[in-house]
Amino acid sequence: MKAIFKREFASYFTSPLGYIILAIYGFLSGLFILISYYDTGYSYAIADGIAPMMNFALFIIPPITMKSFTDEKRQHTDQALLTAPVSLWDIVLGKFFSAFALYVICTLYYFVYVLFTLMFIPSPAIEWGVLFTCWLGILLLGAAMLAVNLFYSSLTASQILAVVVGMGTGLFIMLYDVIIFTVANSISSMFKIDYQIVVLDKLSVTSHFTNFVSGVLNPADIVFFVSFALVFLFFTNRVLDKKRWS
Amino acid sequence: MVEVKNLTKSYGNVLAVKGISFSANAGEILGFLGPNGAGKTTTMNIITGFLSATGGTVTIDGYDILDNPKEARSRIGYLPEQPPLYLDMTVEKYLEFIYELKKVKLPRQAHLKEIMTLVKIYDIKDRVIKNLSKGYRQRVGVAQALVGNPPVIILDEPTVGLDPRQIIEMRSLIRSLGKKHTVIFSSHVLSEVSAICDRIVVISNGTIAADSKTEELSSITDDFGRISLTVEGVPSSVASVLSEIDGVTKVRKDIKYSENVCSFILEHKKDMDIRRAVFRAMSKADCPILEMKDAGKTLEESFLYLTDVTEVERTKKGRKGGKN
Repeated sequence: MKAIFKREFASYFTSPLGYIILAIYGFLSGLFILISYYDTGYSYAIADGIAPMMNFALFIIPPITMKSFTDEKRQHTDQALLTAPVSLWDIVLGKFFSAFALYVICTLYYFVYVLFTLMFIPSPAIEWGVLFTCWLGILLLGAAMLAVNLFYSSLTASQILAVVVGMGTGLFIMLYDVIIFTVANSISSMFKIDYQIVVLDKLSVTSHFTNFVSGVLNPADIVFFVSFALVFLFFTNRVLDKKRWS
Repeated sequence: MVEVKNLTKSYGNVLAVKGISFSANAGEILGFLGPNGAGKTTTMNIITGFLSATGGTVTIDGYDILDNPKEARSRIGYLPEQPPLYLDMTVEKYLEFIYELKKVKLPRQAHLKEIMTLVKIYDIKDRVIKNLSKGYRQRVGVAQALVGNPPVIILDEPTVGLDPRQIIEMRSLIRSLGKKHTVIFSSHVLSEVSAICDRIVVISNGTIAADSKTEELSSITDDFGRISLTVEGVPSSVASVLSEIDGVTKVRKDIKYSENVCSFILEHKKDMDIRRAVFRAMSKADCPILEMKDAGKTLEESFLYLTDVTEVERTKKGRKGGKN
């Protein structure tokens, strides 16, 4: 796993991809922090600035994993990995953690903003607790979405296809609440049942994420994102195994 | 060292490999020969654990590839048809990655240097693989298979796409590898296999058509002998005299050089030398023999015979034909 992680992580920086992702993430997160400075004042600025990043994270993540498995197939290097004395989990987790490491570096921008706040704002009142849950939230969201997109990457040999499907999923997740609300409402009015008993709204990524942003640390939310990620990592593992048997 | 038993593989409804069994002993160079699409690559992919078999077993040094995948795979170095190269890495970085991936215990610098020197890529170790020519990429591919000194080396068509000089170098490299490793390599070029291998396994249409020592291969398919001769005389009458010789089964006119000079191919019963009888008969008919030689079946013909006739029918013998 270590070898795969190292190679994969280094490959982000032998191509422009890693730098571009870092630049876009830095620009967007900085922009939102700046906007919320003017909106809410200093003390809440960072927490409020993180919230809209969720929607953008959904679109920044597909390019991070787009080449994870597609490039292996294109260059036939999957033959080297799959015939090496390593397990499928070594491969999947090596890829996942290298993508996650790049994502973690992206989120380190927030500490730069905190640092700037401390340095340049007179008598700053940062809510450290909220800041921490926000950061944890954005990390967990990232882990879940990276796992989903890693799964897409394992399904196809085309980077573009992986990105398009990944962004489509991002769009779906963003609009999930609205979609569920509309669909469930019309169903419940048709069949006279309370749509709340349909568990669909429990699967809303947005509502789980919002808890973190508002400073609530609920184990259920953590379990949600972690299991989300594990399920898709497991699927990825299965896809790789299935190739052997097809 | 490598033991393959009753291997089958189906892709959907297509049975690509139909019950192949063979074994390669330690220190042996085994040639895997067959026309394109015969199932060579599929078989190699199964041996290395890249694909799983539908049925049958593969054991490497006593370890089953499915039950003990890590143990088995750590004993194999594999060069697939397309060398598995990360194009954005330098040669040295790439080999270091493979070294770590295979969890090799040998001293790193010395081991990699030894391999790079052996396949002659030490001078280009700092170049990015993307910029290398096909020949160099192939060598990096071989180097990658050698990392960790695995006892079994499997090479899938290692000479395809190389220029004639590189092919010669690759062949001598494979021959030198055979001194320390068990080498299985596939090819559809006969001269190559016969020049390098101790043993040849001919695979055709998913089954094994022959498995024998290289020098025995042509004889197992030979169920008749053949001589070619050039005779001066009226071709039709020469042919009729020839066909009456005891033991001759078939006479065929080959090339007509002039009105009175023609060459013939004689097929005769196996284990029977008819050359003296031919001499006497021609002498009696007053038709001087200008040239006569044994024209036993070439390896090329054996190959076509084995890979072609098994599919159609074994009764049509000695056919000549193009590439399958």
